[in-house]
Amino acid sequence: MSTRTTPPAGPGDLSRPNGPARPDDGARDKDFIAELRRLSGQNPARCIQCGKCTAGCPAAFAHDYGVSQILRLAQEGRKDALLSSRTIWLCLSCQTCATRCPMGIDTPALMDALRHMARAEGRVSERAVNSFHESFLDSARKHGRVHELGLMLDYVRRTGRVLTDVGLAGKVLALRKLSLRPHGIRGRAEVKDIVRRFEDDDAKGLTQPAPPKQGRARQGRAPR
Amino acid sequence: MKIGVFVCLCGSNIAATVDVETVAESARGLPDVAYAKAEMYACSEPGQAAIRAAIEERGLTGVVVASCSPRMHENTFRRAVERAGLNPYLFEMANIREHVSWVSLDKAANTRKASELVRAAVEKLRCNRGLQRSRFDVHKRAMVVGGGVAGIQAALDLAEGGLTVALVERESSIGGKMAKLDKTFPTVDCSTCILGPKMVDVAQHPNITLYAHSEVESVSGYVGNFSVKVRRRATFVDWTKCTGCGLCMEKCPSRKGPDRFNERLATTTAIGIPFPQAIPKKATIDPDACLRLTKGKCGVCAKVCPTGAIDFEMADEMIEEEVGAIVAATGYDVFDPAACAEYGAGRHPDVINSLQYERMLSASGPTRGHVVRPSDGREPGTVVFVQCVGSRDLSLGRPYCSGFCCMATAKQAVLTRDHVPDAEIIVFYIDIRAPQKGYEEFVNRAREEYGVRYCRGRVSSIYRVGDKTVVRGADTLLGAQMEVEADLVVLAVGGQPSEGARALAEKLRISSDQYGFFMEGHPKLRPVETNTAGVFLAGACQGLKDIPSSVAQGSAAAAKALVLLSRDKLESDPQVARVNPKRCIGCGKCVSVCPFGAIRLVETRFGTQVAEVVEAVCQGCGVCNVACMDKAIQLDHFTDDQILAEVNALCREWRVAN
Repeated sequence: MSTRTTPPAGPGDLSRPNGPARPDDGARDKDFIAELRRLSGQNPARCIQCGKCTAGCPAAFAHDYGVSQILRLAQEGRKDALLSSRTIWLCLSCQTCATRCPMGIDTPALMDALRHMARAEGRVSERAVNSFHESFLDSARKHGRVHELGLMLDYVRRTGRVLTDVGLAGKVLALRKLSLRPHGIRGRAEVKDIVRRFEDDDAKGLTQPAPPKQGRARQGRAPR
Repeated sequence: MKIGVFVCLCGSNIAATVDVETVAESARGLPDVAYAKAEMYACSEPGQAAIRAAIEERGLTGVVVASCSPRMHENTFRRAVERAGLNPYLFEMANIREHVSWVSLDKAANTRKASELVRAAVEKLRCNRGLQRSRFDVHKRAMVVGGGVAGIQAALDLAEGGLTVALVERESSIGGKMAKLDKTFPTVDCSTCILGPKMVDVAQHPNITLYAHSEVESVSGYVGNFSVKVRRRATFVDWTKCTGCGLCMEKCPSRKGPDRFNERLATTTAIGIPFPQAIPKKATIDPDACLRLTKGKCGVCAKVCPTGAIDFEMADEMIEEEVGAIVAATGYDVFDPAACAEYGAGRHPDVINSLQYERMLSASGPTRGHVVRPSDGREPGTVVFVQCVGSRDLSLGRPYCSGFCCMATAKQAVLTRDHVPDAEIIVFYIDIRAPQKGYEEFVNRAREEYGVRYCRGRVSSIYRVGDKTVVRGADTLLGAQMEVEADLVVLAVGGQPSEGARALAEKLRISSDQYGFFMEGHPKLRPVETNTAGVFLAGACQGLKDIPSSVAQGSAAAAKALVLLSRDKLESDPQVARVNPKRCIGCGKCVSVCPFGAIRLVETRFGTQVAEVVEAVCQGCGVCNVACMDKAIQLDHFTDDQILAEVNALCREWRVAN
């Protein structure tokens, strides 16, 4: 028999986010909890801390906090720990946790909101991930869709990570997945407008999340 | 009429948001009100004494109490005024707690509304007349529906208490879920060894008639006089001749039918007795598996049966039972984990549910008590238990805790150590719930003495790699993921109301909660009664519970039924429909709408027809009252005049205010 325990890459212990063990300073930021609820449309208090999200997360090997620990920090309003966490940037939004959550919490939506809040405070712990998002949006804004080669070059320019994915280049070029020139789409102006409108609203703090999808019924089989 | 009004403070429940003195003062100005007073707790002994004293000293002829919902205390106050010599129906209640003080903090508005409700109650009381209860005979016989441990206990207690009992069981043997268990927690008693003697007692008790392989078809009547139709499903074996020798089982060539008793871990013969201790120990033919009944061939059992008990022509039979009380003890079904696709039950052979594992542990089970991997029959090296499967899961519509699985898992983990001493045993749990006597200690023993590894985290998925079953979970206390290569995975499945519970609730006219569990009369004070007089609840049908609680509730339900039927006659509620024959045109509309069949048409001496209410059957629902075009049928205590008096009183207030 074999059991394998994969500890998180970073400090996973709740009492030790940034160093040696220390008592909880008791700072429960209620305004932060309210803002997180508003932005994400999710109520962290609904979480029963079962850990099913942590159990199934494909990115957990790289996380500093497990997914359920992020929920716990959110319940406790631990703003500093959350906004400086690497986990929120390394979440793939693959929806495994949301699909299996017994309480119907959309955790990726929560991660999204946390990323927005971290950006707004200028405390991005994974700069490369943030740069990728920016390169992606820039490219989409410019062309109406993503120009992959341009995205790659822009990402390299922002991060200086010249060798990232260089090994893949030959393969994808051979498969003609990378075109040298961007394709335009119809309605490029509209896409630009959508991005601009969102950024305006975001600046005014008006961005509203999609309505929460909580308490989904799976398989539609409630007890008779 | 001389009316007394008593306004209850209910401690601060009412007084905090209603000015009760003002309400009493406003009542003094109402017509016929001779006396009004605020009381701290009207329902308390001094409160009731004050009401009685006021009736006696001031010669009151009617009483209004403004307090809480009549649901709880209407009877209390009716008895109080009755003791003071008033007719109990010359009493009215105004609900100024649930309808006023608990719903708003606006004291001025609350006080006004409370005064209005008191005025309406006074106006109704002025139209009331004293009603007389009549008395009727009862059947000194009870029915228990469901022969699990709760139903067995209820039936035995009822029978010992002197009543005759009809016990109806859907399966071909009584015993229920407990009969399928190998051992019970926290004593690790052999389940059949402690249940078996009780089952035998049922079979041998002169006061108990057992209808196995039977179902309740319909229920009519009322408390003390229920009439129940029981469908005895065809067994195709004459049970008066069957001796339970089992020869038919040995010879039956059809051996591929699902073995329901063994939770489909094995197949079984088309004719058979589900388990060695079955009561009654009689054979039954599964018509879906029998070659004779499906294809017209075979008939081996009929040839070998030494008593000639086999009867392929047998049909269902209907039996009428007259009983005074009914105990519903229909138990639960286990959750089908196939709905949790990520756990792979039904797809991966080595993933089984906890009841299947129980059959595997049992010496009379399909593996004769050997713990094996169903895929290849080898002894497992690593056994993983996954808790909360189908419990505490909102996305499956089951947010509730099933209550028994934590302990069942601890017990199975301990038994696993006994069966496979070298096994690695891991339990994935969220929280351990072990609140009863000896339970927490048992879980600790599993950890300390039996070396069971408890990992706090729900499992995310279970998949197959080669001949191993990989369980992907987490240890949330370490903040880490866990992957375990298991040989056998046991899903601790939760429970749900048994199939057909809702249909039975309709027949018994009792209510169910959102999941289908039967509703008790009061969650704390009437835990085994229902809101239908004469129908009681026992066991998991009321809410999931373990064996000790089910047995306790079985006894409690029996006690309640015995109390009810200890009287020779019961008093009827006089709040029943009454026909004014002068106005009735005999259209029969009331007869067709009455849900209780309490109204019939009778011929007058002029050859015309008029409606007539059978008082004992009428439940006072008032449907006929609404349906009658000519206002010929009226519900006593809720006549049109009485209700309109209340409405007029409320509207008058409104008109004055606006």
